[in-house]
Amino acid sequence: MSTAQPAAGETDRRVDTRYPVLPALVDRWSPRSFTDREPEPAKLCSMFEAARLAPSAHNTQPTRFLLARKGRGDVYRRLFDCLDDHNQEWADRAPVLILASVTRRRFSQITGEFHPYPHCLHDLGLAVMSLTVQAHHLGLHTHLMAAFDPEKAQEEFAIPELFLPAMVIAVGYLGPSDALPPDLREKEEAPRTRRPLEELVFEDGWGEASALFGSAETA
Amino acid sequence: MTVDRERLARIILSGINDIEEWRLGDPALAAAKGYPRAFPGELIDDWGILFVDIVLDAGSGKLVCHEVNGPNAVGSDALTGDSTLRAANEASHAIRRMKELGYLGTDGQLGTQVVTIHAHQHWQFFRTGGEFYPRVAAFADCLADKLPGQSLACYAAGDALGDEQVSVVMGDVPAITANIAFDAEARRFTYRGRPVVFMGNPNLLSDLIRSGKFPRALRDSLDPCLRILHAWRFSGLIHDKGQQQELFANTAIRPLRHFAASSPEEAVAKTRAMLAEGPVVLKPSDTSGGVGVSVVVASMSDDDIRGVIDRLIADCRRKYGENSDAMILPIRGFEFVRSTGFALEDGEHLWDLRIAIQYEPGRVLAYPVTLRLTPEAFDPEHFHEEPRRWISNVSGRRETLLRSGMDDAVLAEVGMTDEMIEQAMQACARWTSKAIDMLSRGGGKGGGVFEDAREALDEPFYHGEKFRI
Repeated sequence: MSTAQPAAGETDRRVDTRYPVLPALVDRWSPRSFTDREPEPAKLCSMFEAARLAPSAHNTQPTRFLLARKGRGDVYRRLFDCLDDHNQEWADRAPVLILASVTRRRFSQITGEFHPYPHCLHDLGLAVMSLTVQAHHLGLHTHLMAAFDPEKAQEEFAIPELFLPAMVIAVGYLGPSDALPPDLREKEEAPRTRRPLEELVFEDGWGEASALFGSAETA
Repeated sequence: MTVDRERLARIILSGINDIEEWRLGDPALAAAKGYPRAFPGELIDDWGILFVDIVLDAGSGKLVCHEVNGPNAVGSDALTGDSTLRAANEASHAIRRMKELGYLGTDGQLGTQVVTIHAHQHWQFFRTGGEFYPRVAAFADCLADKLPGQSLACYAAGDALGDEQVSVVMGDVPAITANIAFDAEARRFTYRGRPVVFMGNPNLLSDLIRSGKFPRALRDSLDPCLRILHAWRFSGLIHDKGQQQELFANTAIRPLRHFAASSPEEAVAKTRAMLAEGPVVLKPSDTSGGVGVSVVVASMSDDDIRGVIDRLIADCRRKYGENSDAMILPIRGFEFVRSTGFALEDGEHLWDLRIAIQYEPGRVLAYPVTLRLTPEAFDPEHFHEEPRRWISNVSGRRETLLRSGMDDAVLAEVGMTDEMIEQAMQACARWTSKAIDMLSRGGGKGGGVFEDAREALDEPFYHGEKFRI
């Protein structure tokens, strides 16, 4: 049961859902084709505001973003150059790239020293997901990329060692898939696949599918 | 202004009773001692300066801190004889704000005429012109270097502005405040109609609040509009002397016992309770220059204590006007700490040592500035009757009562070893990071962030091996 229909001219990449879900979650997918239209500054502000509101352990707020907009200085090109070859095949179609980074260690208010922070990437993910969902709510699309050179980014932008460059996010308005080369177009139009809930949610024991999804009450 | 002309100006100012901390500056000695000392501050992502006043407790032999002051304080010239290091820090701060407010483009061009503001103490209390004016001049030079091709001019607070891109305005707090407006909707400050990109004295904010031009709630919530203030994140904390003490926990500086009272009646009751453990220092909240600071002892009656509190309030009203009442509360009480003695002809004088904490992205620069002696010798029986026996603040201080914080003989006289100085500077650097962390995530006692007992025991909250993959 899907809750939203694709806009005219958009690629239908919705995954079939059995239960009602927020439209921005159903419609969100990671395209490689973007139009030249620049995201409005107000929309970008809303995206970062959403990320700012994300929860984090002890309210550490570990995430920092570096915004790179096409046509504004050379930051966009320098960040693009940090992407790996496969992402460089398409990512410059996005008018905006964002480098998401996170503090590797957590500062303790009590000891005044840094401590291990193994949840850091988890907390980064929460912030990035908030940003992504907000973007889709505003009609934008995002594509998250782990394939880039974090050491190169660290050096290129003089990012302090405390921060781990963890992800690059392409942002823009969805473009037509036929603007892509054939191999990328094929990926762009391939159906989205997700495991069924029965393989993700256990109950009574590990590996035992929850009865929740098979009950008459939820069917 | 050349160095010689600056020196001439300082000498003239000293003739009208200016405090001459610049005479103590010694670049060669500072370099030989490795000052300023750099400490890592990985959490720090901004610029600012603080001044921490410490003493060596004669009773316990421990270091304690009287209070931490914001950029309204002085002394940075006692390191090298000028404040160019501080001025460069201020200029970096101003440039960053010009960019983030959208006035300075990526091409280095200013699209709007902007103003930087440099306020000093109210004229009747102003005695640090020898530090202030050369620092503003150094700031202007530094800013001009960072903004090639942009015009810049300096003005007094009473002047009309010219057609330059950057106007550097200086004057006393009330004169500056009179020309500042705050646009509550845009959340921006203007001076004579032009946007302000730098404010070098947090007391301006107190004055703007007192005059009804700026809502106190925005200061208390650390609204982003405050970012133009040097050391903006400390805008509230520099007045919260109690929270300052909490932040010294787990450093080489022992936090003082303290209380906060929201009425004179409550202040009397809490003072009486604290007196069981020794004399108590009472301070109003939003003041500077030692105004209203008082001490009470156990032999005083409750009526006597109430009289001291009433005089404290009257002192503040005298300096800041009748609208100052809301800024005086809460009244705070602190345990009185008797420092080790500094022997002069008339006896042992109390003292405090001011340490400058200049922070910038990624690090803290620390250096001792001046050791400040009380004007009169300490008298254990009657010291509370005369503030000059126990308070060593800037206002009303003779030159001979200022000593260099780099002078080994001076430090030896009060029992401060090199190791103690190092520990003190390290503690101040740690305090700065703790404060920034607390202020940015709602930490600290009474804050919104839960820190459980395991963390208090100095164990990592998350076990590193827990997520080994």
